Amino acid sequence: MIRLKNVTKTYPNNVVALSNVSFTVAKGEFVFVVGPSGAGKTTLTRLLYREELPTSGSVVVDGQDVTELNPWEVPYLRRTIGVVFQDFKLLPDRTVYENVAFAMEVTGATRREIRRRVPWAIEAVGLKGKETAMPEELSGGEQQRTSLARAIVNKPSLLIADEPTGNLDPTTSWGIVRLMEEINRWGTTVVMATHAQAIVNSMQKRVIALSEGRVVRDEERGVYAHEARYLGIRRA
Amino acid sequence: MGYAVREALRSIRRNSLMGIASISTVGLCLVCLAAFYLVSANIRHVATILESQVEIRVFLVEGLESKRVEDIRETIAGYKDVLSVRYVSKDDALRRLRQQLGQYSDLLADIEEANPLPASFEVSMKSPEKVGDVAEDIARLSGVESVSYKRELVYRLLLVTRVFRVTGTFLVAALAVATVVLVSNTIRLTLFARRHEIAIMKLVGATDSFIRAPFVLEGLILGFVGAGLASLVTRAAYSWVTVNVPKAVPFLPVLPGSPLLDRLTAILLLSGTAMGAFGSALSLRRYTQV
Ligand SMILES: Nc1ncnc2c1ncn2[C@@H]1O[C@H](COP(=O)(O)OP(=O)(O)O)[C@@H](O)[C@H]1O
Ligand SMILES: [Mg+2]
Repeated sequence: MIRLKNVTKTYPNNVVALSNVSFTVAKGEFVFVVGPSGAGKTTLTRLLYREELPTSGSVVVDGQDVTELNPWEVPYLRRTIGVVFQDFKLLPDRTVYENVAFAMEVTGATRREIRRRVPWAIEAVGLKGKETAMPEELSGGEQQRTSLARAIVNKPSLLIADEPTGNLDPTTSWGIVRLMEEINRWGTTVVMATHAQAIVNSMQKRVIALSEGRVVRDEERGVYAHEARYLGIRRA
Repeated sequence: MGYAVREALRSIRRNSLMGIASISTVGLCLVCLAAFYLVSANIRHVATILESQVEIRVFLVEGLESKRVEDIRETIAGYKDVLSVRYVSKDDALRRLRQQLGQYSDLLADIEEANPLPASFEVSMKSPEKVGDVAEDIARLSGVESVSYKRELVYRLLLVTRVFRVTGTFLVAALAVATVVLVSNTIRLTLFARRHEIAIMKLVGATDSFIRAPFVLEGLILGFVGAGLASLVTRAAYSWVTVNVPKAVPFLPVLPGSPLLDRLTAILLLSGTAMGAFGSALSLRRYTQV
C-alpha cells in the first residue's frame, strides 16, 4: 500500500525534516507513527497525500509513485485517501451533514450517491441524529467523528490521521481510536501519527518511531517507547 | 455547475460591499466607453453627411455665350470623379438669395435691376476626396472665373474624431485596467475569506478547475451586471439625446438609437463580462497554486 524509499525532505529553510526514510506498509495494516515533536511525523503524512514533495526518494501509494504525478492528477490521488487532523478542519458555517457531503460534492459525485453515502458515513462514526448540528454545537470528539465521516465518505483505501486525538481528553480519544480501528477492520489501511503513549502501548499495533527525521524503530505490536527516559520527558 | 453558481452567488451576497464597488467600476468604465463610442459615431455621421455634400461651385465669367457655357458643362460632366453638374443662372442665384433672406429680401430691391451675382455650376462629387484635383482642373478652363469648395470643415471634423477616439481609447483603457484590478481584488477577498474551505477542497480531491469555477463565475457575474447597468444608463441617456438634441439644435443630425444601441449593448455586455472574467483569472493565477 505504501512504500517509502530513501526519502529525504529538506524544507526551503534548510531544516531536514526527514532523512533517508524507508519502510513499507501492507494493505490493511494499522500503523502508528510516533516520535517527539519535530521528529517529522507531520511531514511524513504530508508526503503521502502529496501535500509536500520529497527532496529525494520515492513515495509509492497504492502502486503509484506520487512524486511523479502531474499536478492535475493529484486530486484523483486524494480521493482515494482520507485525512483527519488534530484541529478537525471542519467548515464552521455548515452542518455535520453538509460538511460530510462537501467532500463528495467537490469531487463531482451525483446527488444520488451523496444522499446514499453521507448518511452511511455519519451513521458509521456514530453521529446519527446530529446531521443538522453545526460544528460549534458539537463536542471535540463529535467534531473529530464528523471529520472522520468526511474522510471515509469517499471510501478511501488509505486513512491518514495526524494527531487525531491531540485536542481530546483520554476517554474521547479512545472512542476515536476504536472507530479508526473499526474502519481499519473494513479493509482501509490506517496511518496514525500520534503522541498518545497510552493508546499506542495498549493497541499492540505496528509502531514506526521517528527521531530527528530518521526511523529509529519499526516493530510489530510495538509500544510508544522502550527507554524510560522517553517516558519521562515526552508529554505532548 | 450548479455548485459553482450557488457558491458564486453566496459569495457575492457575503461580500456585497466589494461586489457593489466592482459592479460600479465596471459600469462606470463601460458608460465612458459607450459615451465615446456614441459621440464618435455621431461625429463620423456628421462628417459623412458633410462629405457627401462636398460640392464645387464654379463661377463663370460675366457675359459668357451659352455655347461656351454648354462646352464647360460637358467638360466638367466628363470628369470621372464628378457625379453631376447643375447650372445656376444669374436669375436662379438671385432667387435663391432672396429665399435665403426671407423676410429681409427687401434689401435686394436695389440690386434687382443690375444683378451682380454670377452664373455658376454646382458640381457634386462621386469621390469627395478628389475634390481638390477636380477643382484645380476646372479652374484652368477658360470662361471660369473662380472655383470654391468647402472641404476644410470635413477635414477638421475627421481630425477631431480621430483625436477624440485616441483620447477615448486611452481613457477607456485606463478605466478598464482599474476595473480589472478592482474585480481582481474582490475575488482575492473572496479567496481569502474562503481559504480554509479551499484548503479542505484540495484535501478531499477537488480539481483545480472545480475550485476555480465559482470564482471565475463570480467575476463573470460582477462584470455582466455592471455591463447591464451601463447599458441601461446608456440607453436611457441616448434616447433622451435623440429626442431633445434635435429640438434644441435642429441642424445637427443625430444618429437614431435603433441599430446603434443594440450593437453597443452587445459590445458592453461582452467587454464587461470579459473584464470580470479576466479580473478573477488574474487573482486565481496568483493566489491558488496547488
Ligand atoms: N513548512 C515547513 N517549512 C519549514 N520547516 C518545516 C515546515 N514544516 C515542518 N518544518 C520543520 O520540519 C521539522 C519536522 O516537522 P514536523 O514534520 O511537523 O514534525 P512533527 O509532526 O513530528 O512534530 C521541524 O523541525 C519543523 O520545524
Ligand atoms: Mg506534527
